[in-house]
Formats: sequence, structure tokens, C-alpha cells
Amino acid sequence: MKSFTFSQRQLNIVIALCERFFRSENPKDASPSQLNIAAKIDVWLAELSPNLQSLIKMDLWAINWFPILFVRRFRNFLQLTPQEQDCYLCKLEECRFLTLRTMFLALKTIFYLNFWDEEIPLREVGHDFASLLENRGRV
Amino acid sequence: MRLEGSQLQDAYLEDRCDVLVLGSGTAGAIAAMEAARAGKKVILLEEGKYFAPEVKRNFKIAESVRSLYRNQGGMVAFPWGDTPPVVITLGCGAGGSSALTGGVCFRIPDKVHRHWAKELGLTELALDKLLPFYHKVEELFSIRETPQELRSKGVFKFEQGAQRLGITCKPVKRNMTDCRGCSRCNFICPHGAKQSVDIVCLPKAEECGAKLYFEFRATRLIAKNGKVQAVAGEILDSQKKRKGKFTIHADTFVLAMGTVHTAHFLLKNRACNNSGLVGKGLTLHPAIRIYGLFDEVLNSHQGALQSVYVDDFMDDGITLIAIHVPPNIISVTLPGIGPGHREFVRLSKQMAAFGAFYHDQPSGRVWRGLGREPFVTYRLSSQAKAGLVKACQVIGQIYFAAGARQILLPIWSKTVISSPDELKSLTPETVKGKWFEISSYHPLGTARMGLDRHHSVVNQFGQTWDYPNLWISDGATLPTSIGVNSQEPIMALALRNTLHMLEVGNNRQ
Repeated sequence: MKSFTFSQRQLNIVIALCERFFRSENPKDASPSQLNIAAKIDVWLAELSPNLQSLIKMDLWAINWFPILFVRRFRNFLQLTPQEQDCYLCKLEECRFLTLRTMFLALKTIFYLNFWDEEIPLREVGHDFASLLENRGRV
Repeated sequence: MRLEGSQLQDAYLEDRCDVLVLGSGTAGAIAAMEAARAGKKVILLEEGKYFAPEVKRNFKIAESVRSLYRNQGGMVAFPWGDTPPVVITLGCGAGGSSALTGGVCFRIPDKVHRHWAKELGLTELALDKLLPFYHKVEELFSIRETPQELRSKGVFKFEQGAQRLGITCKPVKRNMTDCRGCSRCNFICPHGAKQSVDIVCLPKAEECGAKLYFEFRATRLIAKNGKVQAVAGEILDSQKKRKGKFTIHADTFVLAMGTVHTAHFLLKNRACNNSGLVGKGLTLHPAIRIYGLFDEVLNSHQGALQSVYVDDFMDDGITLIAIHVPPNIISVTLPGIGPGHREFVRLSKQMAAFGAFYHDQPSGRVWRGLGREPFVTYRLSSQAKAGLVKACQVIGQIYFAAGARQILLPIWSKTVISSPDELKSLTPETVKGKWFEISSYHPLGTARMGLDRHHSVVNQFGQTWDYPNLWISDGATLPTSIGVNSQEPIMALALRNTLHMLEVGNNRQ
């Protein structure tokens, strides 16, 4: 996969985050890797100013290394088990420290914006994407 | 004539005109249109890209955010004290933020007009002086009440609850023609119904001979002998990187880059700051959004994005206004990860949303940033925090009165509220300011109007005290926040300022 914004390691973190953020209990639901969400996020971020891109990369670095503080494991995010990753991300979302929580929410917003703009996931949760796409609204 | 930086072959461009307008947003587009109509040679500079209306109408939401929002929607005011980071939504492209508003148009409330005229002595800002300009912009931009049939089911639910509590909902006025109610106003109206300045003013300016330069970032103000002589800057490529330079000479200059960036431009150039007030006095109208979860499917995105408002709490500084964006965007704001989040997104069909913002006192500041972008700080006052808590309670009570099962609040650790009693436990003492998720859509007041050069940056018509040929014509000049959406006031003031500027220019000649 050609990366516009991230190094391979950063891209691996993005892919792992996508898997956790958009996990579904229904095995029939499309996975983020099938929808290529990581690549979409990568392209989406490519137009960001260099300062903001650096912030996002710093954000990824922090998310990768902060399990040491939150789940008390001397392992980074990529080395955690999926269950530990979920637990860690939930703790970040509920984190008392404003800066950490904000960093996490900023990243989450970018991921969710790109994911929920896709037709398949919205259909899977029962939204009528066709009417959204055609912007019919109230007909 | 339209020029796009990324299409240019030359690495240097020099030009000359009568009126140079910086920024193609609400104020800039009106200034360019009026000056061009008056027969002036006008150049309008815009940092953002140009997209033809038929192209941007077909953008998906993520694409709109990427292409038309400044910093991809990531402009943040850094918190000071018990304050959360505040996301400031600004446009960057043809029409600026005007292309991304919900189209809501309010006149400045009488109370604010009276305060400006009587207590601050700004008699030119009295209601009777601005009334003709309100009338003109209301006609020009087809500002009218949102018809009842465009109210979504979520809004009807809110109205039911409000009625039970004796609260009155009033129809919002918007600059729309033939709105079909798809709630996508914030991401470019797909039907071209929204009469934003890129639809109304920029084509007229172009017809009258104005030159519109896109992907031109102004960085330097060149002044000599007490007058601004030229503006210089960078020509950008499609990746917003510098590919060349430009210098444009003019007789008159209009700054209309928006409240944040106008102040930043002046600060970077150390201009017009004898009073020391440039960048200070920023107000943000801190805004929140509250969801009510009902048992039945509402599909509240089927209706106008913003159709009714409540002004019963204006004395407390609170304005409530309907807002319901499409599910793609609501999903982004819902809590949780994995299956828990998916469940919330599934339930979003049963949600109704209402927003609130607070009429805040100046407590923010624009600083000179290290890079291209300004550094903005903001402090949420205790009154503003109390106002936002009250807004949560009022909207929550209304939704519960309408039969909501749960309320989703933008407050950390108190996101889901399941009963009116739980709601009552929210008080300014039990909620910290930094627990809120706040955004801002109406930054105002970083180069405020006033009566003398020691206490203001511009006079009552937007003319800077330091350079008689430099005018500021955007939200930066408003002396205080206004407690309502700022689009129409900025339009009316821009129109008035431009006509006055042309008159002054003619008299000088």
C-alpha cells in the first residue's frame, strides 16, 4: 500500500486501530481492511498542513506507547492482544486527563469520519444510504 | 476572470487594482461585489481552492471536510483554566464559512444594538442605522422563514416537549430558495438552495470585472508613508505548498479573512496595533449539541438542518437552536468503540438533536503562531459554564417531556442520562468546564470597532486607525459577541462598510 502520510509502522498502528474501532459482532459485516479504511485515512490526511500531520503522528506515537500507563504492560499497542487493545482504547476514551482524552478523540473523529462516510457500514446498521447519497431528504 | 494558483505557470505575479479584497467569505465577497459594481478594478484573494458549484455539490461529507474546512475542521482554541479545547469551524475556499453555515440568519438583538449605541457610544451601530442594510441583505440573499414542512420529526418531538413546558419555538430565518431539507447545509448544499456568498456575490463580482485569485495566501502588508501600498504573499500549489510569490498594489485594501485570520495577519505584520487590542477580546459563542433518544424511528436528518430556535433564555445568555446533521456525521460524535459504538449509530435513527450556544464575554485571544496558522486560546468563564449546564438541563427536560428514553450530553463521564432526576443532579458545581465537548461557529471581535485609536482597532465603519486606506470588514470588528448567529450581521456590516468606503474614496478623489 502506498502511504502518503505515514511511515509503515504508523500505518500498522492505523490499521490496528481501525480493526478495534470498527469491530462488529456480526461476522457478515465488512471489516475495515475489506473497506480499505486505513488507506482512505492516509489519503485524507495527506492534505493536512505539516504541523497538523506532525501532531497526528505524535498522537499515534502516544497511543502506541501509553499502554504502559493504562494496562500496566510493558508492551506497545501493536503487541497487545485484541482484548487488551479494546480495554486500553475504552480507558483512553474515558480518561480523566484532558490532553490524553482530547488527543484520542481527535484521532477517533478522523477515523470515524472516513469510516461512516462509506455506504456499506451505514447499510449494515440499517441506514438508507441511497437516500443520503442522493440527498433526497424529505421527498 | 478567475485565476487558480495551482494552474499558474509563472513563479511570480505582480498586479495592480483599485480595491484589493483579502478573503472570499461573507464579508469579502460582498465587498468585492459592491466595489466591482461601483466600477472599481477589484482583485479578490482567497487562500482556499476553487471548486465549481456543480463539483462541490457532489462531494461526500468527508471530502467536504477535507477540501472546504480550514485545517480539515481541526482548528482548535487551546484551553486556558477550567476549559476544554474548543473546535472552531472555519471555511477555506470560495465563500469561506458562508458556504458551510446552516444558512441561519438573525439580526443583532435590539438589546445588543442598544448596548453598543448607548453604553459604548457606537451610534453608527444603532438599529435604525443598520436597518436599511438588513433589508438589503435580506432581499439579496433571499432570507426568509423556514417553512413548517421542512421541520424534521426530531424537531416536532422537541416542539411537543417544549409546548408541555411552556417554552416557545420560533421558526429560523435562512438564506435559502427551494430548500429540500436534506440537512447537509454544513457540507455544501447539494441542491444549490443555500444562497451563500459564493452563489450570490462572487459570480456578480466576476461579471462586473472583478478578478478572483484562488490559492493565493497573503502574508505581508507593505506600508509606506502612513498608507498601505501593497500586499505580498505566496502562490500555492494543489498541496497548499508555496510554488511562487505575488505582489499586488492597490489604492484601497479590505481585510476579510475572518475573525481569527484577520487578527493573525495584522499581528504577523505588526500592523494597526497601537491599541494593543489586535487578537484580544475574542468571543466564540461556545456551542454544544444534545441528543434525545426515542423509542420510535425519527430519521431526523430528513428535514432542514436548522429550522426552529428558542429565545426564552436569552436573558441568561442562552440561545437554543435545532441542529441535526446526517447520520454519517452524527456517528462521528457518538461515544464508544467497536460493537458498542455501532449500536449507538444504529440507534441514531431514533435520535433528535438540539444545539445551544452561550452569549459569552471576551475571554479568548488570537496569538501569532509559529507556523502559518494562528495560535488561539480561550477561557470558559464560570458564567458560560453555568449557561451551558443550564442549556443541557433545559434541552434534557424538553426531551424527557417529549417522551425521550435517554439523553446524550456532551459532558465527559455524564454522557448518557436516563432520567429527569439524574439530569437535575447536573449543576455548575458538579460539572467542570473542561468536561464539556464544545465547538464554535461564530468567532467574533479580535479587531474591534471603537471611538478612538487607543481603545479600538477600527472606527465605526471598519476603517483602521493606522492606515486610512486599510479597512476591516468581517466578524473581527464586532465590539462584543451578539448571542445569535453572526452571518446576517456580518453581511449587513460588510455592505454598509463597503458603501461607506467607496463614498470616502470618491470624496477623496
